[in-house]
Amino acid sequence: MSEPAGASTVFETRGLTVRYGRNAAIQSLDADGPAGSVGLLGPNGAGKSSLIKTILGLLRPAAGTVSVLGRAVPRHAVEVRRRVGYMPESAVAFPGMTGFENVSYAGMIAGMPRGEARRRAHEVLEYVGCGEERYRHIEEYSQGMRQRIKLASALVHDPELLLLDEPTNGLDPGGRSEILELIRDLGHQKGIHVLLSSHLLDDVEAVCDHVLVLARGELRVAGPIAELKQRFAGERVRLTMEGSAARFLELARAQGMEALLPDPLDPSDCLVKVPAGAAPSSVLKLALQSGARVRRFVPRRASLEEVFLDTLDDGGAGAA
Amino acid sequence: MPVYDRSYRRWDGELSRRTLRFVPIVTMGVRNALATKGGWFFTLLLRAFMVVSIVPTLLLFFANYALVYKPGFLPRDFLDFLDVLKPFRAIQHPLLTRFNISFLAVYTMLFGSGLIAKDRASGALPLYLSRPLTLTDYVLGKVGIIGWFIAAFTLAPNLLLWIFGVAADDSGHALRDALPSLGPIVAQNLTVIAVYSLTILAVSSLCRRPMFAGLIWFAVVVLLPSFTAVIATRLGLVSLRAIAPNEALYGIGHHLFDVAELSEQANQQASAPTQLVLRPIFEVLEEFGRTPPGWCWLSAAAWCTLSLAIVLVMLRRQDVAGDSARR
Repeated sequence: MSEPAGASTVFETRGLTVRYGRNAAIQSLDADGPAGSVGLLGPNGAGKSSLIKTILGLLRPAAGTVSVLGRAVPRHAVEVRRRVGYMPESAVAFPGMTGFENVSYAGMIAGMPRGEARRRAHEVLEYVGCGEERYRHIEEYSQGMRQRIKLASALVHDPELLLLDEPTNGLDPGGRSEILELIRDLGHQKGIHVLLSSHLLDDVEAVCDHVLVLARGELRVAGPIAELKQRFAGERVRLTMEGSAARFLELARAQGMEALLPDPLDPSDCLVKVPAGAAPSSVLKLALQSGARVRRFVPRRASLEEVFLDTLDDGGAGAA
Repeated sequence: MPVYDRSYRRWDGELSRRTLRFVPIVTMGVRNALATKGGWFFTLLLRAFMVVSIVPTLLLFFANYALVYKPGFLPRDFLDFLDVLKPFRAIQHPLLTRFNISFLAVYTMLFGSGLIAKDRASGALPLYLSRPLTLTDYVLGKVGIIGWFIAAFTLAPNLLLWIFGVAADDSGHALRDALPSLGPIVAQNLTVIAVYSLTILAVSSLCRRPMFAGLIWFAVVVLLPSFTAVIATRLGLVSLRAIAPNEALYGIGHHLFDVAELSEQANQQASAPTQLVLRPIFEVLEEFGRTPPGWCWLSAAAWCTLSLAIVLVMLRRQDVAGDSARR
């Protein structure tokens, strides 16, 4: 397994503010994008796409600075775009061309010689799983095939950093998992830094090691996913009692724990969130104190979705 | 059985750092436009039109060839007549441009109307601008595509005709005689290329459907001259005719080649029968000499500036640039 090469920080913003007229899409953002695969999470309007466009130098900051791969943007935007591959959110393509022509043309305008661009286009199309369809016109493609062509176009000049804006949009479950597998491979095996913007938490969790959570143009939380899960959501514990868990639930809630019955028809099964700083075994002790006989005790890690929702709920109180 | 490596491989080549970053846009655009994809009827129609449109060029080449080599299969009287016309070979260039501009309107509409409109409709602009390209590179690339086609029908045949004339003339001072007409040839045709390219790109940037862009442009270029001619006649202001881009371009050609002076020479030197032949040609060219040259140049410059401004404003308003983000 090869880690992406280069500096430990791929991009960084300091006091970044981006405005559309009077509306601030990004507000005083201080963020570091570490090397490897980074997820950019946030609800619609959080400023994810604006951040990507600012990284590309397409939007000019109203205030603050942006640095990508060690170069200041937008001052060195053209230089940065030589080293970056971008897969936009919408179903865009160069019109009137075949899939193959689209990818080789993307290489040519990135600065590759024509022959090299054509050879390389075949390679990356093969990699993204585009067979004979590459010779069909782009207008005849399904959404899934267009996504593959967009990914191949972003990869053709072998970028150091890959910016992916909602790459699984409109894909069926099979296609989605294939694209995610490719992105994971690129970020973890092929030495390319990945910045994946998505509102699909599962996608980010499947591909990324780090996450930046944005809401209303502000950074709510940032850090390694595993650490955030631990830090923000703690752990959940699933307990199955012999008989009713009602008395344990009362006791747990009285001590300020979040506890519930996931299945209202089964009063013996309950789910408890371990309080911050406490060990899962403290829940077991409490259950034994309540006099209940515990048949099953299963500690369960929080999902990224739970971290995300907690982060948005607390208004960024725990922002890193 | 060979085993192919289908995994991702790093590319160790070097990306070009060329300053002419728009060149791939031009080459690919021209290549794509030439690979007609409009069905057999459209292809046949286009090819037939192309054949017809090169007839004026071929006729002038033939006349030059006959004048120089006097081939035996041509009647003696015809060759004598061509000899009389020899001093007026300079007007073949504004005449050729005048003829070709008539066909050029159709080509410009066909090849230019979709250049930005299609990119707008398919949202391809972010794909361009996320590469090492600037908005200027993109516009230069698009101007290059349509400019290539326009030059193929204006500048290229004129230059070939000029080169042929110099190469075939064995008088010893052919280059000296022909050199003064080279400047006007280049100047007039470059003006045609600039005005036609930028105006078609401006309407293309305003529309998402190439057909609408083509129709708007056709109306501006083909119908506006008739409208301005009526207004100019009614108000008695000849300079108003220069508002129409075609009128301005014809006027520029007229003044660059000094057709009025040539017409004067023709009347003094040519015999009565020759004058009869030349008169209608000069009358056509004289028509465009009435518009003051200053107004013609001003009109051409205004059309170019206005068109470029429209293109840049429309492109900056696109999604990727951000409607009102500070730039």
